Amino acid sequence: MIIKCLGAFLATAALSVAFEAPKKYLLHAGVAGALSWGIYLVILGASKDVVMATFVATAVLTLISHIMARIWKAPVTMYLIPAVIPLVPGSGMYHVAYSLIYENKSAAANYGYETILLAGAIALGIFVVDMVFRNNMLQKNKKKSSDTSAAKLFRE
Amino acid sequence: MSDMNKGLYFDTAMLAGEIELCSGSEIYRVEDTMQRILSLTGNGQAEVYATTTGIIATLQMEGEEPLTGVKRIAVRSNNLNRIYQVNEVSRKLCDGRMTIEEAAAALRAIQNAKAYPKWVIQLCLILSVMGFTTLFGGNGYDFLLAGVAAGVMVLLDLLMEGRIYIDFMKDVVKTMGIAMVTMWICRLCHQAHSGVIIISALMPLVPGIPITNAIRDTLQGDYMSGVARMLESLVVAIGIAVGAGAGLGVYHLMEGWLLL
Repeated sequence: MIIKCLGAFLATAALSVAFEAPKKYLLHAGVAGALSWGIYLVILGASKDVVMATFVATAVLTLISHIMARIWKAPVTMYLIPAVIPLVPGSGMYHVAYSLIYENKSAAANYGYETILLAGAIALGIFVVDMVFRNNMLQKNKKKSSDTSAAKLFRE
Repeated sequence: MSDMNKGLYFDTAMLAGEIELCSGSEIYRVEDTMQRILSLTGNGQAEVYATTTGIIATLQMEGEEPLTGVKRIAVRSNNLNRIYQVNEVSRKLCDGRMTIEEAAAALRAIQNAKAYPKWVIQLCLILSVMGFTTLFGGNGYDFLLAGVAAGVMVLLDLLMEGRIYIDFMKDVVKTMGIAMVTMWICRLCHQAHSGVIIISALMPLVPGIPITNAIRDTLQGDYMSGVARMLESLVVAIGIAVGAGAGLGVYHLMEGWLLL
């Protein structure tokens, strides 16, 4: 498992170079990727459910990225995009093609279904956490703008 | 505010939005950055509308003709560095730590900035593929041979540069090359798993960025770009599956004639 997390670290950090992330954020993205993969493995071992594991890992990863973005004042995507790649069901796409070429249609349908579910799990994972942070931000903005309009009224 | 200065603010905002959109930023970030820069003009009324393929912005000052600009974005790539740099510039500009002239110059420099030389990026692609083999349960042979498969991918990328301009076609050719070479390698080296190597090698091509951005755009209410990016990720996924399938199929057909 430690080797796998190290692999995730290497893969994520190297990928963020390919996406031309600034040098100082390479390690952060790598750590985020390794952490999320570790969580994925733990949940997968506990529940034996790939979709569940992907969902939780993505949600935690999004949370980590939001926190990191607030600490180091960088866009959330700087950490989120490289680190989410290991969770994207690339193997599903390959297995669909493989099963179709070796004429195993039911396996292809199975893998296709699983791939769609995994993509949905990733979407939901990002969505849920993003929603909370977004709502928080809107709330703050609203308060600020109502403050200033009140101040304006006072001045007038 | 003088007329020329207003024009400079407008051009700077337009340039910032263009760079962000070309680098694959989310829509709300583009609109937010432009709105912030335009609001520095003071009493003006600014409206910005962006989609994945273009920007429309207008700035209306009291008792003056409105300024309007349209920018079509035809080519998009993924460049986190440029998004980050533009973010920094707009942050400094709005805090008053940078003048508008400095910001305009900085943005023009960012437009052509390269964070890494090309060979570093290619080397890192190979390294990341080797890292992915451990995630999918590969052994030491897989780790090393995946480097070869990734090398083929980089080589194909270099060959196609300046010849093929359609991304779908590039993805198909790359995955096809990966699949064929990997199957052939695994015929020679029996300890390696062809599945693990192929999956690892196509992980860098997987549409992680469009999926992430599609979700974030949809959440912000930018449904148009959300749907556009969903479709983009679907097309990339289909391209990968088609390429892998074609590579395996060609290998399957030629297997009988013995390549070696």
